[in-house]
Amino acid sequence: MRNRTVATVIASSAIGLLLAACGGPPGSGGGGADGSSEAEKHAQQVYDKINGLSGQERTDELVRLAEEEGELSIYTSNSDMDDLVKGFEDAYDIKVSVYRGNSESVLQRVLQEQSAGFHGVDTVETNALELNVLNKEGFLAPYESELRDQVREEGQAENWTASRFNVFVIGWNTKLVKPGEEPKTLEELADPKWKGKVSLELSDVDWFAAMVKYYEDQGMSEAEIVELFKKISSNSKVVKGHTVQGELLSAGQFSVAASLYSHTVDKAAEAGAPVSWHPSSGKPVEPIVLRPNGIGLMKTAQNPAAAMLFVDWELREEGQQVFADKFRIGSMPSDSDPLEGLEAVEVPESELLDNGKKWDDLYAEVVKGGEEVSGG
Amino acid sequence: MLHIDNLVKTFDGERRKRARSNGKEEAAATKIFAVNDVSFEVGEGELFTLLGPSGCGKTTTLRAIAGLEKPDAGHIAVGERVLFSSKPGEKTVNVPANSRGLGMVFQSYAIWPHMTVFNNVAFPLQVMKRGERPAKREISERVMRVLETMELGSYANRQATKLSGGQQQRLALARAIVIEPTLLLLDEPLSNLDAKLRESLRYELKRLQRELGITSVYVTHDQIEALALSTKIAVMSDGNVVQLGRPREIYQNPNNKFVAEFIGTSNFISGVVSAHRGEQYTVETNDGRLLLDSAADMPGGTEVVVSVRPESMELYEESRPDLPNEWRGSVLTRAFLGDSVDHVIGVGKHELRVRCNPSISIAPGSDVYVRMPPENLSLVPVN
Amino acid sequence: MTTASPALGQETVAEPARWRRWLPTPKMLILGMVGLAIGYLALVPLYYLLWGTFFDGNGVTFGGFERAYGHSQILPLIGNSLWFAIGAAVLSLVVGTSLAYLNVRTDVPFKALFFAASIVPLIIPGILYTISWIFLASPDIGLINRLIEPVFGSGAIDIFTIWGMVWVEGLHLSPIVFLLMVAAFRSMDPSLEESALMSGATRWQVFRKVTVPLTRPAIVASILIMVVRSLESFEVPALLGLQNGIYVFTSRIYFVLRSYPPDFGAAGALAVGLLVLALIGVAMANIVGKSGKNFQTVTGKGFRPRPMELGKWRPVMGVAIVLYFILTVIAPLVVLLYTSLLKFYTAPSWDVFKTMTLDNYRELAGMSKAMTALQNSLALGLGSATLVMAFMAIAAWIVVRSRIRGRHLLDQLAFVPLVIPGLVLGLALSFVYLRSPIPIYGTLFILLIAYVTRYMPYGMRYAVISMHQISNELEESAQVSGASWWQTFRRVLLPLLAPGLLAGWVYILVVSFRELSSSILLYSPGNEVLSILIFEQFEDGEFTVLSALGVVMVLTLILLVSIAYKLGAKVGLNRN
Repeated sequence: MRNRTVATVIASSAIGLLLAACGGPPGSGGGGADGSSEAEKHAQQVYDKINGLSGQERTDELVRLAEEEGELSIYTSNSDMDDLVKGFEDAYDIKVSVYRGNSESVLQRVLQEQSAGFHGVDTVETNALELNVLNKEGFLAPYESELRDQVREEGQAENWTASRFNVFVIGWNTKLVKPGEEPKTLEELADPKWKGKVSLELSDVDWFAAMVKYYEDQGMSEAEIVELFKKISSNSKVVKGHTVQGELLSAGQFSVAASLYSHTVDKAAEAGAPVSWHPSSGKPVEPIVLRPNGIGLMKTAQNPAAAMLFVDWELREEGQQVFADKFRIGSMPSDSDPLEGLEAVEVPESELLDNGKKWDDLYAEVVKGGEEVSGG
Repeated sequence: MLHIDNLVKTFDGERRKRARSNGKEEAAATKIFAVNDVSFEVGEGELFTLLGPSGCGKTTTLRAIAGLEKPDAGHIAVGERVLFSSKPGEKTVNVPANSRGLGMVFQSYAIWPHMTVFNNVAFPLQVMKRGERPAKREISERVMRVLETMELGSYANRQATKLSGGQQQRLALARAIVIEPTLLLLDEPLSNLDAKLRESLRYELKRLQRELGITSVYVTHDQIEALALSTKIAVMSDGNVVQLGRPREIYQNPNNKFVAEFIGTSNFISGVVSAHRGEQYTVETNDGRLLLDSAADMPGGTEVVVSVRPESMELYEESRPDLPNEWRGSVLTRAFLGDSVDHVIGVGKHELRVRCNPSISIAPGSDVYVRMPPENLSLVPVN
Repeated sequence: MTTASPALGQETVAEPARWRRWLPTPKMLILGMVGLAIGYLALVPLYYLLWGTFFDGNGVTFGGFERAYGHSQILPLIGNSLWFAIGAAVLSLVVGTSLAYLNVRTDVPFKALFFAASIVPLIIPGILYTISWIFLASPDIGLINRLIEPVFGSGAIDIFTIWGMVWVEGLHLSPIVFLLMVAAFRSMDPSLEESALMSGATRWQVFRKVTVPLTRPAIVASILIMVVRSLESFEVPALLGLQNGIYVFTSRIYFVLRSYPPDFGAAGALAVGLLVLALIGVAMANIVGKSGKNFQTVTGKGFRPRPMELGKWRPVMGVAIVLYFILTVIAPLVVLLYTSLLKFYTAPSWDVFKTMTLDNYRELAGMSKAMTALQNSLALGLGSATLVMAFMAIAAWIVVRSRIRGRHLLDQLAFVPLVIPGLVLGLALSFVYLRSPIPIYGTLFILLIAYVTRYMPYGMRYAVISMHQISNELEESAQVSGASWWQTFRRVLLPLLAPGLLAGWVYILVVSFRELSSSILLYSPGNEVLSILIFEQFEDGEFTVLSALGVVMVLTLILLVSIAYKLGAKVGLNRN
């Protein structure tokens, strides 16, 4: 045949290019080991040096090294990063670049870059689950400081440190729920009188797992708990995304949201929206669910000192104040603790990391009104 | 000037299963011969017409000359220049369409609707290779000259699609001749026009072709057009040239029934050659004897068909026994056609159409005598 | 055998010296380059997707398929999906085609409105468009429901149903159909319709029997894109379907990609399902387009389009147009504008109007990233739209006009990216360019590659449809006139393709501003694009700032597209 076909030419050259570019199929990972060990060694030296110092000496040396580096790259899913960075850049002579995505893309990006031996990030600031994955992969270096020692106990995770907490609360529209009629417990939302007035969020598996653990500790069986959630779900409108949920709650699309972030409610209330998670009298619905968000140092950081300095910054008063201004709960205990006296439960992070699929499926089953939809 | 030798072009037909000797079936594409071993020559300054019904291969032949269709085998040359040549054992030559330097007028004119009249005509000059390309000013002069010839000068800046049908046709012609091609190809250029316009453009075309002296190949299915315009005609059928000759020859002496039928209306009378002396033949038919002249060489006893054009017959109300080939019949119907009157005459089993001067009109049912002058009869062999 | 020889043989030129034969002609270079580019762009993510689907640590596996399809409720999911996708496709087809027809071929009033109606729904980010509809037609808080309550009772219209989903998705997609069909109708000879009208057919019969069949390639392409798009869509089903427990096929993809580790095998298996469906669609579109000449409505014969007179229907159609315009453009836009002036969304009342402020716009103006993002989005949008349409114009020539073997494969390849999830595309590209010596990771170029890949399928459809409409003879006459392939392409085909290419260009430019799913993985600090900004505002719960951003985007793009149309009117067919 004289005519070479387009098909073969395209197919062979494209696959050739791809293979040439990758040197192997996707998933084979590896690669770039030479560069990484070099970078790793340097970063480790810096971390060791600083972790070995304390007090003013530590701070001075860290600032000196960090400003010598002069740059910092942060990957984050934190929505308040702009304000944090602004303060940091004002305080130090360091230029910060921020990659902001959702927690899944932050994780995928770090995994991709690390497997290719590309060192694009110095420190990662994101949700607990993703940080735990990075730690499990062995990408994170320990951070030690007097500041870390003061962080709430729940926030001193292995190789990463909480900077703030997301707090799941039950919130309501104050125009639709009259004072005195606010729900007192989560169980109450299973009552038929709330039919069509509740909202659940599609991806709040972590909140769900924490509540299941809580009820198990209260002595309920798993079957009873799932039954309870299914009843709540059958009263509910399911929404995807907390922003949409908060917006629709303000607009009155439903009266109560079972798993809102406290800062979403507080911020909206500040702007004048008719929402609250504090009843007209008495305490908010307990327990509240705490989920840490934190920051970890990369072993392959190009700017390890700057990265450490930034962690310091987040935990210091200036950083914590940024969170407080945005109605978030900082990880350092403070005098005016908005959670003071409230019963709090934690998200069982390690359980979710090991058995993620099980919890995903169970919650999917719940939000579908008891209908078994998710297999596997 | 133009030489076509043994041109073959096939298209893939439908695939069908073919049983092989080992019992397995294999799919084989059947070949349809669009052009089957066609050869002809066109002389300098001639207007050569490929005539035939649709699907006869005339357009494929033309497109092969233009370089738009690649033949499977054969030889095409213009003068000394070989445009295409594919013979077993030899290297294939195939000059791309855009290097052949020919002019072509398409059936749909193929006028570029996004350009002005001027730009349409200037295009072939503008796309010439650097070095050969005339200067801008010369292009403009040449374009305007051609447009003037075509009486389109005043429309130069008009959008091409805003022209009338006849103007578009002239524009297409202007574009084809602006490079002064060695050969002009015309693919049914008049078929999209109404009857009246067609007629006037036909004469204009002939005049232009003569004045410019461009050798042309003309494709049409309209025998009147072919007869009126051509220096030579090749009648094609099923991919073959069935008769090649001057218009008058083809009209008067069709060498087979297809040509006779296709070119104009003919009456056919079948019979057997009873004797011939030189070119003078005697043919016996069911309804009488016919004398005629023919250059054909047919021994006595050959089955033949005698073809006679309606306008070549004469109609009399009284017998003229001194003249040959007179048959008696009666008028079945008549039709007034303006410039003539057609009578259908029943003679024995035959129905003969006779075209007469409009002054002659004979009522149906009348007895008449039909006379067929021997020089107007042609002998067509039965295939 | 010479069964598939190229129509316009180029293999041996008679005169040139021997060495020239070894040099590829410019035509072959260009075709080869375009073919390679398309193959490369499509195969990289496809390879990544298939690898992830069929291979795990231990070798070949079909586990992904089992996890994706193998459970009891998959059939209802697929059922819902098909219902939703076909519904939305039909609605957008009917709406888009009628509007295009009215706009191009009749003397309908208010033609100026069509322009906005054709692009505004494309510009508004899907999530804002959908939420606008919740604010309009929710049985609980919908403004429309409140307006008609005295007559129809409370909650007469419910957007949280499958019909609501079809409605929102269909309207949101209808501009794609509109743009495709406008290009198709523009280049159609009205005499074809007029002759049918003269032979006694009613207008409706003419439309059905003449107009629709003549534009069949465009219609088939529209259906194809619409169905695949709706099957993939998750925004509308997530916001409208979940409330009443209506789940679709894509919720599976959402669930399998959400958990850790993301189940790329299952996601891939789902995408492969879509791929098979889509490729069958492309093959069908090719068969339909094959009957060649039937659709070549741009011929060398001139025509003067005369708009069809609607007569007594003119005012009726006028009212319909205004209604449509209000529904798809004004209503969502007003909701957006209204929201952008508030601190949080509340139903309109006198008190609310007193609290309106421009704070959100001020915040936007103060955002340093906003300007960078706008510039980057503009650069990427213009760049990807131009590149895609330029490449696809040539690719369409290969597919429609050449007789090169495997040309249909090129068509199929160009369609592949439509079914590849944005996240997978992002992963595939970062995988390749993190390891490639070409240093584009972390630059705008990797985003450009992602955008070109994602929008290739649309560009291809627009270009192929336009190519089908151009009569062969226009090209052949240029060749016989001595024009080289490239001269023919540039001076004859390109101008004739212009309306279709421009429509595709506008579409890509507009939707590229919304691309998030692959951008979010591939952008780098300093290379932010508008969609990232939208995402950030959304994540931060800044719904009102987001609305302000939406308004700014709509205004910017309308300005840009108007300029494009103005410029576009100068080239190509001047038929209006």
